[in-house]
Amino acid sequence: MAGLGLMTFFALLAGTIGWASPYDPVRIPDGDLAALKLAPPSSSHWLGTDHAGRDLFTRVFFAARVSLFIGAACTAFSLVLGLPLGAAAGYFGGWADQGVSRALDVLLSFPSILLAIAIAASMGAGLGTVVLAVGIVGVPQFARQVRASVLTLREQDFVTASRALGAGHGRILFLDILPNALGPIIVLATLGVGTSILMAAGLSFIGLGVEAGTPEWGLMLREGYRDRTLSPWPALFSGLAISLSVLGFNLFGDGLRDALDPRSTEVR
Amino acid sequence: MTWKALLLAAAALAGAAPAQAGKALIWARGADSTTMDPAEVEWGEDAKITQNVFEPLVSFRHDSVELEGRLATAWTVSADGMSMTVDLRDGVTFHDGTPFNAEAVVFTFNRLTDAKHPQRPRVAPYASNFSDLSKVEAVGPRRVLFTLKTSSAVFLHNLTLFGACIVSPEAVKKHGEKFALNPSGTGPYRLARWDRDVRIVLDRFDGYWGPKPAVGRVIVVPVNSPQTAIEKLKKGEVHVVDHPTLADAKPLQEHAATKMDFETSMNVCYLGFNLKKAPYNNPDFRRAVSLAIDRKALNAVAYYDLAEPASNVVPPAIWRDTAPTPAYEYDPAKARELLARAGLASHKVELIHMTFSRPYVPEPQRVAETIKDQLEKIGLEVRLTGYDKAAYTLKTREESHPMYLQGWSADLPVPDNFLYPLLHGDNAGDLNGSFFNDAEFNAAVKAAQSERDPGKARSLYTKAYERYRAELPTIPLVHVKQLIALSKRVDYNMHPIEYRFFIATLRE
Repeated sequence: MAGLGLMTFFALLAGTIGWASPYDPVRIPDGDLAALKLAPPSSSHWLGTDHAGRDLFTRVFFAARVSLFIGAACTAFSLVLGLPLGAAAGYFGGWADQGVSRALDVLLSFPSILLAIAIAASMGAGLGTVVLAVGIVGVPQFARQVRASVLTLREQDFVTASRALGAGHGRILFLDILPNALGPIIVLATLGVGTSILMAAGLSFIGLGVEAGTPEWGLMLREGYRDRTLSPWPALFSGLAISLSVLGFNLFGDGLRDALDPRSTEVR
Repeated sequence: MTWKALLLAAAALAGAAPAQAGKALIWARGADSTTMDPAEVEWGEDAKITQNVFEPLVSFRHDSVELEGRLATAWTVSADGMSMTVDLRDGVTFHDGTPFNAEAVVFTFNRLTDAKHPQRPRVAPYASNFSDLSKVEAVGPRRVLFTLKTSSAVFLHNLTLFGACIVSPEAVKKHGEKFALNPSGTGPYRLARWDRDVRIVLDRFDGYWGPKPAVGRVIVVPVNSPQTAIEKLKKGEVHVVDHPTLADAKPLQEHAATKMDFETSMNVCYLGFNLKKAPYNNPDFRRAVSLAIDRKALNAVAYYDLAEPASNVVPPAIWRDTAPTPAYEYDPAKARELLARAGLASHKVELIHMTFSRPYVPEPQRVAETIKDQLEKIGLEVRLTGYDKAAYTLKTREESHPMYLQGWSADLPVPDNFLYPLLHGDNAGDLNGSFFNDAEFNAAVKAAQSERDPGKARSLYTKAYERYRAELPTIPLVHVKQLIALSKRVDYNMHPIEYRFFIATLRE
């Protein structure tokens, strides 16, 4: 429930910040920047200002949109590739399984952040690159989970029954097996959003993430870290936003797992 | 033997223990040297050491980039500009005890330029600066004659380069390839010890011909992270940090134990346009971009107010007495008009930038984001793409790149060192990423290279500048000040070009 609360908090503020705040999250304000920049929290700037004199409160919550979008898009990307690959490997077995599993092993053999850095560095920084890099890194996790579930399910009586009734592969896979494998995938996807936000922030932190100037937590943390001796607030608040949102997704994912997995309910 | 071993151990301790810091000046920098052979020097970290162990014939005055004799006492250039006679300083000895004379000068330059020389260095990155040198010969024990292939206005300046530092022929012959580990020059400091990636210990050379350094021992330590180095500085574990970040300047100025020294800029950061690609090839577009750039805001957002707004690609300290260059106009309203007239209002454009720090762009992302912001305020839609070092170098040399961020630090404090590599047609597609190839500009720059009359050279540079300013192949943004962090116990004034340990003093 705490996880759901945190997620709702970020989502609500991200959704309303656009019209609630008098400040622009991206435009550098006109006026005396030397006086405006890196100001501490005050009544006009609740969390202070960043290196370009922009309101931090507006940026931190506007960045929730960007970071949540990145988290969701990366997970969707991983899922769209991972689900069919895993399903095919688990259902058909044999060569299909060998091929997919070995390819996944290759992907898994790279430390995930290194693989993401390699992809991002070769393509140039940008939002699309981040989604692609972090998305690809997440594919094996989903594919393996789906494959494992499908492997167990395809031997179940209701599948044998369906097959005996003359159902084709498509029908069995999509209407009989996958709906029953969805529970763990939903949990994994929820946890995946948190991991993706963290990894995307990592890429931005080292300068390979989103476009310079974008309100995105990792990039804001990087800029804040640079200025920490002049003002600790930008680094503190963007770091806090990353921690809390990832914590939110993780708690929510754990909660979902407990709710969806009958065995864990029984134990309690 | 035992007392020698004891001395060595004591020397090692002096380097390791902060308690002994009072005796030696401890200088922290970003990385260790790779070589101590001046002919092999390619980057600043190597040069920092060789500039104190070796000496060139000609060097800079203590407070400017004006030339003065170091191992040379006088020089005369022939009427046709094809040869130069140099008189050498008397009573100078190398660290190995051998005397400095005309033979040593001839040996040094032959070793640098002759690919078949028996003591040829392993690499010679700056040898190409001497490709116009035809012959160097001793015409007396203290007199050398340089003969050139073409008349060159920058030859005297080339003599200040790292590679032109005079080496002891005996030491080179004795150590061979190991000379890079056993340097022997005429400088105020001699190498006492080099523990790779740990420390370099330099001791005062008692036989030095000039004023002796105030500090008897300098220990140079590599501390990769500026943050770590600064913490050490605050605690008194080191006395100098030569690579502070711009963000550190203010806190260090306010700290009780530390201070900062600033020096005029020898670099430029500029915005370039690919003149082979639309809309960047449209002069009205480039004029509009130029009018949209607010250098004051850029300085505040991206340079911690430690840069000077640029009105020329050549820094003012190098442009010196050449006709002054007026500031670029900032007028967003006029920029919008120009864009509208060119049919480019709300056009989509791209700006590529590096993601790695350089002296002229310590925060490339911030420069890019500020320029994007300023261009979007005149209605353009700007996409930014950042690249790491290898990818960026390739990218800016392709013909397909858009607007780009680039910069340059002077090798030599002469206008040609900026105008020729960055803007001359000869270098289009290389360092000249805009593909600027203007006949008038090219001719003026080329003519200035061999023009020895300073007045005429200045008017040629002014002509080149006017073409540059009119065509806007690149727009200079800022010149970034050089900075160094010091303990309050140290007195040291930065030189615009060199790191001179020998002028530092250290109080107890």
